[in-house]
Amino acid sequence: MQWWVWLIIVIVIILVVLGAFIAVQARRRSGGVIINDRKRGKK
Amino acid sequence: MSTLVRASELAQRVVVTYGGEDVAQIKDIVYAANGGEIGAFTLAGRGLFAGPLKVGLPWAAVVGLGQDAVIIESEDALVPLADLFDAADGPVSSGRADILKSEVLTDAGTSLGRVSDVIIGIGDTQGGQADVVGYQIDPAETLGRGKLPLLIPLPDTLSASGEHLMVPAAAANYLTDDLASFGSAIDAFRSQLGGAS
Repeated sequence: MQWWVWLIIVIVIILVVLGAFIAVQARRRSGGVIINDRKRGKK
Repeated sequence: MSTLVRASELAQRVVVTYGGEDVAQIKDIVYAANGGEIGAFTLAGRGLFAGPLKVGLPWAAVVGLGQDAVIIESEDALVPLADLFDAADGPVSSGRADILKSEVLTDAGTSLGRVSDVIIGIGDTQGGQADVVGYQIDPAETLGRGKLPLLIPLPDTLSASGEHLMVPAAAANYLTDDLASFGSAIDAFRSQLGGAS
């Protein structure tokens, strides 16, 4: 294959990995509302 | 009187010390299953590469709650998450559940919808208590109230777990879509419960 085809493949892979990383980070940082149900498991 | 805010409005607010240091941002709001009192916030670091932190912010350590930031005295106010969740006597991992998207059922067994946000009543005095006073729900189709989010008041003696959230059937009579009038809906609902008991 031509060198520029490899270049495009590498760039696409980098963009996909970067997008996936940003998506995972956004999910890890997203908030919620948590019940601190301290008595669960004792019922 | 208390100020009503959605939990989603508190999430991602920056935590700043008196010294102006930007230490974290709010991630989760943690409240007690019995009574609905807000106990703490879990935190995420600042910046794209920062994930959740292993320390949390007890509500009692919050000295100011503004539109854009939560103020604490210093970074020393942050405590390890294990201490926050072990503050009483339960296990750290099995005793916690995110209630967003949980189903809301009446005590008569009718589904009202799924939780999309939580309404918190914050006391107007500094250091005052904050409580979960209502849920914002995406209404169930069987409710016949369309698809717009609705607010449902909760009794002041809230009892909840993560899978299903039970509310008295009378709560369905106080559904509203307006946060400004929700305070009076809560008062009316709680008065009715008080009168009935």
